[in-house]
Amino acid sequence: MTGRLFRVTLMAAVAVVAGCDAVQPADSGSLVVEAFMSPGSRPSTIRLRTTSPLEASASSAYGSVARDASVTLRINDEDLSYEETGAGLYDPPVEYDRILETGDTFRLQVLWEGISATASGVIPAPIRLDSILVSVPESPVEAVLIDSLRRDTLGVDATTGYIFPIEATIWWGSEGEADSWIQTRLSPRTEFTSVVVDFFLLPEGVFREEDAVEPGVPSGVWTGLYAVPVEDSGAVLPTHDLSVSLVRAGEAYAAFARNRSDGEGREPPSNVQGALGIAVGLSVDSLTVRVDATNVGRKAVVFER
Amino acid sequence: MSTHVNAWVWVALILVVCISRPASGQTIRLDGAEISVANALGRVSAQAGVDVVFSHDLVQDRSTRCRYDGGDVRAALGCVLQGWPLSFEQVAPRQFVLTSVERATFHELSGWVVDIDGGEGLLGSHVYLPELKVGTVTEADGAFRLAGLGPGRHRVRLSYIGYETVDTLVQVPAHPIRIELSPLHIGTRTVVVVGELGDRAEVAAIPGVVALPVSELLEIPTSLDDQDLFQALEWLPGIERTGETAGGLVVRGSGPDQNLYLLEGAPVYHPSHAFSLISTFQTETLQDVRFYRGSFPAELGGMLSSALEAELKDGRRTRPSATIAANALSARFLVETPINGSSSFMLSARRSYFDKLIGRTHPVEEDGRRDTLRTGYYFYDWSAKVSFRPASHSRLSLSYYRGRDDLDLRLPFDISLDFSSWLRPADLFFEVGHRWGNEVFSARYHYVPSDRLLLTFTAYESDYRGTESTFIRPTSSSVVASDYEVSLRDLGMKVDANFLPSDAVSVKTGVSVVDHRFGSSLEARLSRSAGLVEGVDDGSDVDALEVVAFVQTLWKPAARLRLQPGIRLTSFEGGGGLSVDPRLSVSYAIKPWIIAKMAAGTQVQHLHRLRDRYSFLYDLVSSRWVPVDDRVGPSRSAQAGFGIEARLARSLKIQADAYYRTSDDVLVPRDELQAKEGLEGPGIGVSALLGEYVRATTRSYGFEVTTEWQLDSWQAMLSYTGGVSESKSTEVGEFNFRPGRYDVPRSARAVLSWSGAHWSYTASAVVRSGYPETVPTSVYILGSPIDEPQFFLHRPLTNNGRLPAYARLDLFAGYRFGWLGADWSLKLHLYNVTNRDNILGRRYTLSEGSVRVVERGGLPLLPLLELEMKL
Repeated sequence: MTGRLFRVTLMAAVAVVAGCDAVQPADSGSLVVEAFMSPGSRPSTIRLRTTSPLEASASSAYGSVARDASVTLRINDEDLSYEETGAGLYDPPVEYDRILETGDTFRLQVLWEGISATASGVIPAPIRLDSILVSVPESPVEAVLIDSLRRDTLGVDATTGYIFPIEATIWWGSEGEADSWIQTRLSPRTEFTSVVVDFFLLPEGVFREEDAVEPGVPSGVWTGLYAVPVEDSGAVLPTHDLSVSLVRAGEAYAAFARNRSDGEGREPPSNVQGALGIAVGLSVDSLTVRVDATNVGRKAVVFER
Repeated sequence: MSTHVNAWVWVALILVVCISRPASGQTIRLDGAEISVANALGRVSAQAGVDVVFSHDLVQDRSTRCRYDGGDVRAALGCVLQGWPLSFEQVAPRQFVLTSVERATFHELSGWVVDIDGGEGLLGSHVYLPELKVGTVTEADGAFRLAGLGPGRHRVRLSYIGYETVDTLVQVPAHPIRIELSPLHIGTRTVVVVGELGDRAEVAAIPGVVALPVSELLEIPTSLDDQDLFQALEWLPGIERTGETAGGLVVRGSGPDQNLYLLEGAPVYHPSHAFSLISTFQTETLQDVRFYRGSFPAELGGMLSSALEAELKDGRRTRPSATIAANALSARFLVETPINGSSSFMLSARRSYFDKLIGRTHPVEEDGRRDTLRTGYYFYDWSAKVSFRPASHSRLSLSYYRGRDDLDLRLPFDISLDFSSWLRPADLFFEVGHRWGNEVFSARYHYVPSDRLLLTFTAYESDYRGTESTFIRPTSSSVVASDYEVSLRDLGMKVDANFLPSDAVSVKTGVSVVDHRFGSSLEARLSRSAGLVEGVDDGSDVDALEVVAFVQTLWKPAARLRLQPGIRLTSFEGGGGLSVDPRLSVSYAIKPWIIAKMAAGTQVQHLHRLRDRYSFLYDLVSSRWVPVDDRVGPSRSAQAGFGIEARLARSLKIQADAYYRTSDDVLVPRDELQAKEGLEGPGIGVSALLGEYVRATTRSYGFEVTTEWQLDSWQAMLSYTGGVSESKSTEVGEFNFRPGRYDVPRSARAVLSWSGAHWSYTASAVVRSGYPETVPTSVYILGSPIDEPQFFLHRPLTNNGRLPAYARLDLFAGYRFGWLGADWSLKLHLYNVTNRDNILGRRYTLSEGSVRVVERGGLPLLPLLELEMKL
């Protein structure tokens, strides 16, 4: 009885002293802008979404789009009014046939339900993957697959298994542009799920382009590392496709790409004033190559232009 | 409306009447006949029913022809004293003291009453002059002052609960005196009056200062270590910890990197052990502690928020003593002893023993393979001080402190709760070797060349060093190895002069020169695979010279008024130019039992504490301090405080403080949510680290109310803090203030103790607002040129939410007994006795568009035992 009385008293004190602080904020709804303008093509589709309440289902979040927005794109000194062509999708008029070129500047303005969002950017030079080289060890290596240290409980044992750590080196044509940033991505498309402790892997990179270029060599180079788990120490390398992606963009995109995959849904930095999202100029090249047991034990060029 | 106005007018009138109305009794009549002043004063006293205290020396051979008929005591006394160089002062509602207006006969007696053993000031001691029937009660640090005393020898009686009551003679005028009392159980009647010019009185003029005697700090309940000063301080208003029981001190909402910690005049830059679970300051080893929560006097500076000054005990001067104790975390001893009549010695050590219980190394064998796993962690402290008094006018003390933490692990990744599953040879493992600690050496020489001048020379070296070694083998073809080291060494010299040109004025001035040396290095090798090897080899060594000069004056223009203006000049090599920081504090005794205090000033901080917020390889437990330079300027703050301190009764004291502080160019994380999550960060270069921070303006304001009550065996302290701590940085688009990281709008604490001959009990409770958190308010989808669209959580503002309120109740029981000729204490501390599940942190994660909240709870109910033996 005394204990209950004390608990009640304590809870009352908590409510009086600090109860008013427990009010959690609510969302009033925001606009999300997604626009990627690339050289050598017409101004791209602009996608406008809205935020959804935390408790909303995934499907309803996909359906949260911004309709009836006014979208204007100024390319250098020319204004271009976009038209709504689908749910949250906005495109240039069909008859507009101008092709974006390196160095073009653009400024995007979106008006939607009282929200005014603006963003600007520059069209970078095109980028092209020249070569991909993979290096596969002779046999799989032992690896920690689940680390009990990084889980929420120590009640779960760590497990070990075997992986093929595969290096992939890519080259692309580059003059080492000072203001350019490069994003690289190795995406193995395999049937298995990778649960490997991955802090030593390097499937992605975001860096200044000038840091990837040797003096006097007109190309950039980057080496990444991904893993393919296998059953045991005698397993052969499963045949799998490796998708390699390369993006050239400015600093705003680099900040966006660097913080996009932290695993906890932390929102990436936005260059859109008045809204969320990203609206930048960039150039992309990507390739999918096949890696199989014939590549084991040597440095194999699996693609060369 | 008019009703309210009238009500306020009446309240104001009543207050004015109550406050200003002089004591009065029945009608006072003096018929104009010539009588002695002494006789006339006696008639006024008798007719008005008030005490008029005076020295017969003052009125001897003086007469009056006063004619008065009325009820105003002040008017009657003025009439009696008319024509004579005499005045009077009301020191209590019905008590007046006669004073001389002649400069030569107007004196104040001031000083401190302290414990003879430890030197701690005794709060609430009674200082009474029986012949004059006047007296006072000492303040928090044992300081007292009595104004309006005539010249000559005065008998002074001093009494304090648990101590011998003593009488002594003091010659007035006198410089501030130090009176040492003996506890009753010692059985001696030793009274030592030591003439000293001190600066304790200056502390009393500043609001927000905690100057509790060490004996009282030891009585404040602490959670995990009975001797932890930080854990004792966090029960005081306006002070929090960054964590539940661990972490640095958060003072009035400011971060731990804005606090100045001084031990024997030397800075301590990393004052914690056991991953900030406990502090390096052991209360038991300290003789004096002053903690400035707000404005500092001009002699202190270098940090924006608060300052902690602590002096080690210099050893008993009566007889040797020894203390040995062990608690859940550590074992310790303390020895104090006189060496001879003029010197003494203190030695203290503490060490954790967890590693002794579980072992530091574990040889393991399986299938003929051998390995040695390591699970070593310990910390230790050494404190030592030697004091010499070669002559009555000089004193030399040499102090040494060394504290270290040592973490040495070699473990497989599989650290489950089943020991047998991982105590075996491991191919895949990690090694962690972290060592960090402080070493302080300080030499101080006090010299009194004349009755009105005290010189103090201080030389010190303070060295902080941290090393972090990591070796990780997550696969048989990859290795991650790194060695990180950070250091800060201060070599300083200070000369302070305390000059008393008159009884009403003291001037303190000083110059200090400090050579700061900052070092850092990182050597790392990341072998991700056979052909993908990266390396980092970086380092820096920076020297910076800091020169400081200050002057501060304690001026008492009237008996009730103290002014303490000061100015501090700082020149820091590398950036910031010359900083000029004015300080002012004022205290005014509205009544002898009510003192109003005000302080204002500016501060500058030339050191910034930065850490790599990306890499989990290094910069984990160390404190990395970097000096200002052309890339980053100093942080500056201005603060003001106002306080009222009232002793409503002998056993009841109330203190209220209000404060406001604003700081500019404070470095705060660019992204508060950034967690260490990768092998590589931007590195240890200051430029790279600065990219992770932005300059911000912060402000905090609030009020604190503390009630202390003490009666016989009972003692209680109740405090409430209401405050706001905010921050904004235009560099990240914050144009309005938002809650700071350690914003706690409301906080209440209560401590109730009872102490008997053998048993003592304490119940302590804290209830406070939760810390701010950044809460997602919505979810959205965003694509990229090379990825499928992803879900993201939208957090519109930093610290837009708040964790649930924190509440905890602790109970303490202690039993003292004698055994084998020693005094023993057995202490049981029950932490979080209600086993409340406090929420200390939340993580919001996304899985397929659904939000998952992971909460981090606080400590459950913990029983903690301590056994102590005193010889």
